[in-house]
Amino acid sequence: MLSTDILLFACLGYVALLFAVAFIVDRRTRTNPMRWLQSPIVYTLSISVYCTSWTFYGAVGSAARNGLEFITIYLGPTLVFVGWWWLLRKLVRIGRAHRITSIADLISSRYGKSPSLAVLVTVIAVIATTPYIALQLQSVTRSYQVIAGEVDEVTTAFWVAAGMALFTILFGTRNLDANERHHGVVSAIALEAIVKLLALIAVGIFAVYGVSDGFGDIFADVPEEFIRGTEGVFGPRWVAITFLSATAIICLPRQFQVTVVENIKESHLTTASWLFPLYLFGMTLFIMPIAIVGTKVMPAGANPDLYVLTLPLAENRHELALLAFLGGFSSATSMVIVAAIAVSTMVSNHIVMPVALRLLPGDHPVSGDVRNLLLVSRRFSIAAILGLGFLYFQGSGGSDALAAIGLIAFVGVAQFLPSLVGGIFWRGATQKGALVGLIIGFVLWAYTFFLPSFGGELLLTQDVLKNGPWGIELLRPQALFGLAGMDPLVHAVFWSVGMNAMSFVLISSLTRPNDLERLQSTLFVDVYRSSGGGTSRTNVGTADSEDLFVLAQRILGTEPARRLFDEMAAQQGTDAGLPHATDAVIARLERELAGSIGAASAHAMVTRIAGQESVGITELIDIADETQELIETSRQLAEKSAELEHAAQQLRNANERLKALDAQKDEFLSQVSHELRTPMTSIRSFSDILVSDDNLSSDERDRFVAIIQNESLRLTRLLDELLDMSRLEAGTVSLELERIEVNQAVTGAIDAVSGMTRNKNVGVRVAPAAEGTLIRANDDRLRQVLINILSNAVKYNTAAMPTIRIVSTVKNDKVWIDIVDNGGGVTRAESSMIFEKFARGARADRDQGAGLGLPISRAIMRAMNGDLTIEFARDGTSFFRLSLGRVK
Amino acid sequence: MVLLIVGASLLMPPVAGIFLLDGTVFGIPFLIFYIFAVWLALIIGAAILAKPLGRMDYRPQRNVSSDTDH
Repeated sequence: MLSTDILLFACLGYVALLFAVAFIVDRRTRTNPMRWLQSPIVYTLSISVYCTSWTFYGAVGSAARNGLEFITIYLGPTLVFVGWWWLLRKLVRIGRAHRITSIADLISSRYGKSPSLAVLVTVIAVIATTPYIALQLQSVTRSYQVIAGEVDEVTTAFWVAAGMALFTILFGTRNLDANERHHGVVSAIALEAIVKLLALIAVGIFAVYGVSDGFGDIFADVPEEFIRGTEGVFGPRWVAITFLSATAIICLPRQFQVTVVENIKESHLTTASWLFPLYLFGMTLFIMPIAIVGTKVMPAGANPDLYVLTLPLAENRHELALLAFLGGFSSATSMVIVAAIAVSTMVSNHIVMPVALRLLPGDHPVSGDVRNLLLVSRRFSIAAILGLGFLYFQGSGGSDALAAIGLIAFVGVAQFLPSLVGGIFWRGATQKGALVGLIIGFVLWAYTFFLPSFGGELLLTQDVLKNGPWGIELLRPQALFGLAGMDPLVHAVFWSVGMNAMSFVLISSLTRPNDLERLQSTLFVDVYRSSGGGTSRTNVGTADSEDLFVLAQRILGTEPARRLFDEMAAQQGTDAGLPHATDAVIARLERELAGSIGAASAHAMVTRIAGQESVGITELIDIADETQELIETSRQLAEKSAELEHAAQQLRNANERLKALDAQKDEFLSQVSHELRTPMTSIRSFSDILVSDDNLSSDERDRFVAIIQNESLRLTRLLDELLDMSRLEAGTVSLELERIEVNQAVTGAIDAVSGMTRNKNVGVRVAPAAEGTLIRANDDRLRQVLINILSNAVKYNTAAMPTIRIVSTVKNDKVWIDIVDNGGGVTRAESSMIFEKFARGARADRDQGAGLGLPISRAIMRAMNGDLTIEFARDGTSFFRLSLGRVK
Repeated sequence: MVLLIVGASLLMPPVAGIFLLDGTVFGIPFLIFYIFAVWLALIIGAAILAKPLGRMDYRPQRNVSSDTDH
């Protein structure tokens, strides 16, 4: 038999080790943080506080009673960590951005920093945690009893509770760290995680290979029902417990504490996402074999909850039994310590602080008084919570099945799920919805599950349990509204969580959030988008920095407050003294204080000094951003479609132009072929006559040949003109420009047509430009144009006394050469088409030219950077104007 | 999310009911073997998926106004 002395010695030694670890780490993190302590592995190990003595002892008991069902407790968290860890990541991000101290703080902060919600969540957490702590006390006491023999259960439990309270107070409330991190406690818990895993695996290996002969031997003659449980696996209970355990890993106050509050780096979660399930895998691997071997080896009537301990004892492996005891002790202490820290933080921040706020003298503030009060209240809360656990344990006399107690807590904290998940994913969730949902869920949980678990000894009597209150069958706690025949657990989950979620959604949809709520909901739901998460505030009242500093001193203590204010002053560029109480400073202060006393209390305290908060412009902008983004997007879309519309219009226009050009080209081709055809026809017919008719006189022959020659010449000229035209239009000819005297150019042209003018008796008058007016042009081409127009004027002039006037004028940087004749000119209607190819003026007759003269002339003028236009004088007569650039 | 759906459907009824078979694998009843195998597969899947998501740390802001998220 293992002696009590050795057991006590081992126990105390182990506790001393924990104290030492926590102490050293706490000291070292202040001066010189140890790298490995901030590794994701320590973080993952601390999350394994999930595995309490319920796992360590209770899982084997559960396996012995209900077969594989125990595994659902670990499948739920596994599913959350492998598949939904970004929910945890979002919680961590929110927790860091808003200095969240507990799950109550998170929920109240999300719903407009509501104090009533914080109190409600705290109360539920306390009530749900108490049985759980009692469970740990019970398992430590019982395991101690197993080894030490009959000792007084209550005394043992009392000392265990007292010891745990001492440890928690020492390391959990050393300081009000801004982020509520407890490095010492976390590392002690990580150590305990290793101990309990090793102990359970050691016992498991012993059971498989020490007592039996490997897995095959163990499972050889196990009845199917033992593994599947009496009710069979994969039933409603299977689903319900998996759901509950998945919920618990998110909502249990202690899990929230280690996963969110104690998180140092977000990236640690990625490691935990697979390492924590692996830890659970290791913890559960040997549960079934131990249960089977225990059932086989141990005498009938032995408590299966203690097989882990009694199996090695029965086989006289005392050192293994001692290790198993320490493993169980580890799992119990780690859970109790973290749960006590988490719940005491809630109690002191959300229940003690608001009360103290009213009672504390406002006019004689002492530096650090709130801080001291907070530390004291936290210590008392820890003692009170463990005291409650102890009382529960004493009162209930210990439930036989550990798992049942654990499940009560699970269903209790599952009530947080709708408000929590809804709060961080659904912007429409409101404070009233959360309040109503939580209250309904809490009441139903108490009525259908928690109170009945006392078996008729607390509030609900046996009679009520059996026949319903006042004999109303419909209200029977375990068959509510006639929903009988269900497993009590499934029944309770269905009613409490179901009604909770439903009323939460329903009331949220029916109510409207206030400004602060709306702001917080945006900050929480869009925590990745918002610019760092701080609620800055705009205050209606004015705050005095002196008052704020006093407040900070009261809560943070003199030195930290001084540091904070110095930093803020430095940021404002103030060298000495206090920073100005700007909105930013007040917001920062409120956030720092929230890290110590929770958002709701910090909000209340700062508001007392700084005046009522109104939601600031920036926040409204932040909220509006969402809408703004949408508007911006739709505006961009509209712009895009306008652009498209524009492009399409341009395409349509281009298409129209192309079509017109195409039509012009067709027209041109048909005109050209027509023009070519006329001379060709006559050439051909006359040459036909020449070839076929031998009886032609030589006169006739000569005449015909002359005609053919003439027509050929005309054809050649036409082709030359066409060629010239197309070259000019395509811009392939570059004309060499030189300085030319205007008057000389005009005179030259007149000389060239002098033969014609004399023949027709046309009088030519010249009004020259100023002597030495120079233009930039190509001499030959300009002469070609002038001759063309002059000869036109001569040719088509049908007046009795034909005259031509050539007027050269200088207009700014241009030189105009106007050619005016008295031949009648053109009408305005004609003027628009006179430059078209093959167009002929009304006065032109069939044989006089192909109608390319003017288009070519204009093309030449344009190629010389000038132009040829038809102008109308005031009396309506038309004349040609050549304009060209003047050289100064 | 994929792992959550795959895991939940493999371990919850009705799909899990398909694997309620008799017989043993390496001397271990098939049901137990099945659950632990799925479990291990989920862990391996999570470990593989966790790799590329490594860098995502968030530094809490020190300055109310000027800091921006990265």
